[in-house]
Amino acid sequence: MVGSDLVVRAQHGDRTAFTGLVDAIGGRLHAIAFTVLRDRDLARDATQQTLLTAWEELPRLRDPDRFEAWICRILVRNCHREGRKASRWLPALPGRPGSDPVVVDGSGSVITRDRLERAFRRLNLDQRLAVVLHYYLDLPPAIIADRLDIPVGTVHSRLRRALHAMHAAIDADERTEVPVTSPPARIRQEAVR
Amino acid sequence: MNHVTDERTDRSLGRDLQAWLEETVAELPDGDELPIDLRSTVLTRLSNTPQRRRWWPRMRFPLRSRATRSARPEEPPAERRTRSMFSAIRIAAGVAAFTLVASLALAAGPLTQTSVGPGAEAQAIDPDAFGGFSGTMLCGSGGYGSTTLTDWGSSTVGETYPRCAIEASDPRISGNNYSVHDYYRFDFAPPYGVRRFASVITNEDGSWISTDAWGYQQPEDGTMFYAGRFRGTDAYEGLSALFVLSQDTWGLRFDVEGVIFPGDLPAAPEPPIEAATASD
Repeated sequence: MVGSDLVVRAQHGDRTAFTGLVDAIGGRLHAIAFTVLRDRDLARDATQQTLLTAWEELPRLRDPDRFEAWICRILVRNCHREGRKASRWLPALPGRPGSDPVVVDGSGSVITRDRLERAFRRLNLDQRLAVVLHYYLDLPPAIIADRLDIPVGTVHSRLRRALHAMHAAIDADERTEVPVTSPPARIRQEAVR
Repeated sequence: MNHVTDERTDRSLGRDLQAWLEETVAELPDGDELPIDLRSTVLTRLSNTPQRRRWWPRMRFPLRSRATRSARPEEPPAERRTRSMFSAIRIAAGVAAFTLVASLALAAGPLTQTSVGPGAEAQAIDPDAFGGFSGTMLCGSGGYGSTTLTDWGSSTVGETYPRCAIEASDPRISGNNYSVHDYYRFDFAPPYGVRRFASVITNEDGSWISTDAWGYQQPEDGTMFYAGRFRGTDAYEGLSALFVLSQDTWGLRFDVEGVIFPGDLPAAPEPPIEAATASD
């Protein structure tokens, strides 16, 4: 949670205060941008533009307590812009031969990183944002709705459609790929609830 | 049953997604921190990026009345308002004087025979040529020039602003701007400075060249205030422009306002000797 006193000071042109905001929230913005866009350069551009726009526009922010939601919307706009500009993230990722399976689901079936990556890249950017905010930042749909400025029902439907699309993509992948024969390393079990 | 299965597989996929997203971030060189070079780039660019501070409600053309200005809650501080009003009134006075002269001339004879100052004799006046404008000027960084320290401060010649862009309500005055400044800085408390500059505004149709331009630094907040007279070339031949630029709080963004008019300013009158004598 970013302190509203920092926001207020930055609104009045205090660059040191804004540096504090950059340090507090910049990493998270960059992580969101990267996980959504799946490209470091695009993520850098989106993050940089978001922070500079936030600095420029900060005096217009009426409620300092809404800073995080506000800057998240700026990031979303910039992710859309970068995505449109490059459109590199649109095609599905080609399979990378030899990459290790690293994720094991609760039922014991193996979902490789590549399959997840390919399935995720089939999602449109709005679906990706919903997925990242929900599963990476662990935000509930009501907060995501606030961040994206959309109804809660839309968040639910985006998440539902995203998972459905990913299931379909993974199933299709499994039908076309050679099954993994070696037992996968069970890593990050602590992440499995 | 199917619904239950879907929920279970969704939960399972959700867990996989969570782990995968966390891993992809963890594998970034800086993890979930902002990359150091990106942070540095942002903070560097920050110093040249002014905040947008409601310059648009303060557009001063058409000129607002004193009552309208004082009614706005987000008006600038008193010092800046006084200065802005002063400049607006000065331009308004110039506009009124010009209008009066033009009206008298129009009343005296046909438009094509009107004389509007030296250099504009026998030229027709296009009513569309005249017009007030407002807008912004945004500058990139420039050259610092050569500075000589003095007893009272410093003297600098050749400070350049090569990458300024003017966006004005009148497209004739919009374009790229290149200025060269010479200035004195007086290191009193508070310090202040005065300067003269040469400037060219260029766009596709022609250029505006400054013939008399100066500026000073506000002692109270360090912001700059410029005024200048420009003459048009090419498509703007026969036109003049009076310019007022005031720095928007800090940084290299300026509010711009002024007026384009045919011909040139009247020649400067002789000093009012009688009035000066009376005040001695």
